[in-house]
Amino acid sequence: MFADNHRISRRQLGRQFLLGLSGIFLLTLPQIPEFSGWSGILGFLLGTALLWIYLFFLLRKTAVTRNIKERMSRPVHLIAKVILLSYLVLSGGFMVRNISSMVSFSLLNQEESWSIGILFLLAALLGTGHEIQRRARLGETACLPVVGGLFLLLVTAAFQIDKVSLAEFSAPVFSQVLKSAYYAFCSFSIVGVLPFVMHRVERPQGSLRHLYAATGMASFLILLCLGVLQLLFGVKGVRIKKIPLTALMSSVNFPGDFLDRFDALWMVFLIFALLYSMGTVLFYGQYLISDNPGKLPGILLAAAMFLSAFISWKGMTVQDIYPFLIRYIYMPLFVVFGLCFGKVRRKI
Amino acid sequence: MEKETPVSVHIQDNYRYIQKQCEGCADILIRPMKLGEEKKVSCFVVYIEVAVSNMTLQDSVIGKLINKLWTVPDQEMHDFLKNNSLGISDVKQLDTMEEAMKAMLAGNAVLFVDGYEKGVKIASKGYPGMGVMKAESEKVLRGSNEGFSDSVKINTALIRKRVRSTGMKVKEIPVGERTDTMTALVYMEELVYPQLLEEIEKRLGEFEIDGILESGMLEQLTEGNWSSLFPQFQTTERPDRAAMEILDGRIILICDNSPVALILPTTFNSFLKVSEDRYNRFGIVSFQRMLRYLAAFLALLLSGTYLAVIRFHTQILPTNLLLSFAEARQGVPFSSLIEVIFMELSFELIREAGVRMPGPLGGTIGIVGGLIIGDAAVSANLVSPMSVVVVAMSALCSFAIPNEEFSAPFRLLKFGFIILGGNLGIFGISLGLYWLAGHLSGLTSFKIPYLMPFVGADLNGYHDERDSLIRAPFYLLRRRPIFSRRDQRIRLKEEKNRVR
Repeated sequence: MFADNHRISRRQLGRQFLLGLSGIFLLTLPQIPEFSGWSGILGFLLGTALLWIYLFFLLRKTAVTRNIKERMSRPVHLIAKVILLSYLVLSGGFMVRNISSMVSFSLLNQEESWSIGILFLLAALLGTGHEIQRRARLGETACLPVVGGLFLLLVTAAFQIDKVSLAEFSAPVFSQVLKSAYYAFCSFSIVGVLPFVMHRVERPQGSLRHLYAATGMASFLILLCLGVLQLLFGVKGVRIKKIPLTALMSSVNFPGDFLDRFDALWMVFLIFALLYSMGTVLFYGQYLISDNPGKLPGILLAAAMFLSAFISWKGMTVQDIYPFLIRYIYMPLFVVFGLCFGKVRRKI
Repeated sequence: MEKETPVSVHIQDNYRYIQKQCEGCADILIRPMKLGEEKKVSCFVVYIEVAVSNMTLQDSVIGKLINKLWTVPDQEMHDFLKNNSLGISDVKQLDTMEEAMKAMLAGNAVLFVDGYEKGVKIASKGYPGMGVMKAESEKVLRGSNEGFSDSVKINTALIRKRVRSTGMKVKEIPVGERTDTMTALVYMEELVYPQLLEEIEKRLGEFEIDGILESGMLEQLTEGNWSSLFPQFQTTERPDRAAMEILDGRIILICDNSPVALILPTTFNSFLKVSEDRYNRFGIVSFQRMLRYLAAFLALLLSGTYLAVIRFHTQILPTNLLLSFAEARQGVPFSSLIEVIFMELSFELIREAGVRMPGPLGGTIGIVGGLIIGDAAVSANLVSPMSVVVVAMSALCSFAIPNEEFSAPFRLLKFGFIILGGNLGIFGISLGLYWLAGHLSGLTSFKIPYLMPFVGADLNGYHDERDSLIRAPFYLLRRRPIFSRRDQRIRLKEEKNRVR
């Protein structure tokens, strides 16, 4: 009989990662100047390699696949929980802010950003739910059509490049490559939740291959996107675009002239992927609060994410401070936490 | 438990009991008589008029028995009854009066003989019914035309006719305090998961209700998620479909007085299959299957997407098309959202009227409603021709979904997508789609995920995917789906050296 054991398969884990990463990567990473030119592309490749090394150590050399919660004392668990929750809330806020801007800018000019944020959070909360198997099934089913759709967008866009000109692509600079590699590594910061979920994966020791495939495909997608964007609009052209991906969407057409533009179609794939990413942070937030959360933790988290998205301090919003926090606080903490705490087999 | 009354050796006691119980029931007849060679043994038969054959007719079971009892010597009568000397197949000795009443209410005759401490149940023709009918809601071009009837016995026999194996078990479970409706679980013992069988039996025992009159009532009482619009049992009116599902390791739940059998567990994919999908060649079946998926998708989204495009994303339309849309809407006093909702509601109204109208009138209503009213509404500038096309197309798609119960949620959710698309454009459609995908991902039917085989396909070696969006050639469908027991998955074996 089909198992109803609150566990997910490795295939589901991989697909969740791919779907969760692809939308938000395509929306936000092309805007980061460090990912432009050869330095950016090489740096991203190096960052992915770094991530793979980290994942290898995390999954093969530590006891991360055992329930880490049970191996932590109450204060340690509380500290870890607070750090991770704050990360998830800020990530959620960052996403809501970006997505609200994107939707109001590209789709609904007349709408206020905050109302879009509320609707977005609500749909993500209702769609994702708080059961691990439900979310895993959603990721497993939607991954292929959604990521396939986004891939089709990029491939179709690639065919619209008239002339490949690499003149704007300056030669890679080592320090720039290192910097973008670290930024790329930080963009996979969601791996910080792995120590808390691996014990819910069937035969978790064998997950490495699936995680490599998922993160590899996400990297490939963003590299393709960076390449296509810079070849189509030029390196400087990408920098001046408010949201490079939506500009790409509106310029990609299918032959046959059935429709003038297809950006609405591409937008469905993108919004679906973004909703899944949003659902990911909401889900893990709820999961951190309780193993069997009811509806309240989700609502509270959504409210916290909404506030973090739209509250500004001295003119700074979450969009300004989030990248800084990830690069200099959260990611180093996750790496240390994952490797060190995963290594300890007794209760801390 | 209430104390049971044993059948008395004194016939007067039994007679009084029956008379008291059946007081005011004009359709229940109590017929006293004197039987035996010397016509000295007091007897009476209790039965429901119409449900039992004429007792004087030699060609009925009860007629034969009564006629024989007139010739048996008085002192041998008890032995005769005890040993069922006439060799009648369905004669049963009943120990208590409650059993006797139950047997009588089930449409049998019950004979009481003076000095004999048991009642004798004699099967007869039973309640009147419609017999084997033509399946009306699951029409096929190829395959049997037999459909289920109202009788649970006939229905199980129709399945047994196709699965002639003692491995096919029929478990009868009476349900309903007052109606005592007979339900039957039909399954292949070696294929079905025992936990699944236990689960459905448990759910059938979890409620007490005065009456079950149709399988739909059972469905609602035993489904896992009552709030979902999507059915968690599949229905069929076709015995060949039921037999096919039994061979896949699923369970059929049949309810007396209902020609609709329930199939469990079920999945999204199962609803888009029809029985002739197995009878036809894979190419055409795959094409039809994809059409049905597309139809389900369009039935849900077409109207909402139309609104999203003409209200928010007109930039995607070629100029000519945009101009013809604008021209078509000229003079229409309502907003496009109101217009589409009005048209969709009108269509649902026509549909509802057509279903309730008797016979040929139903079709007439469809033509009158669809053509005449639609045309008049366009001429009167109440609606634009484009919205008529969109709504008609969406209606056509909803009819292409093969299962009525499964098509209903699409028709209902369509209104949600109309509101989302009409107010938030593609963004709203995407939000709705995500919610729906999430809901379907969380839905299970007897612990089988609703989205099988699009999830967990690896659990059965990716074989279930061969019969999903497309259907692989028949000789490749070697394994049974996930519903069947893991050690009984091989369905088709071929000679190794067979040349194809």
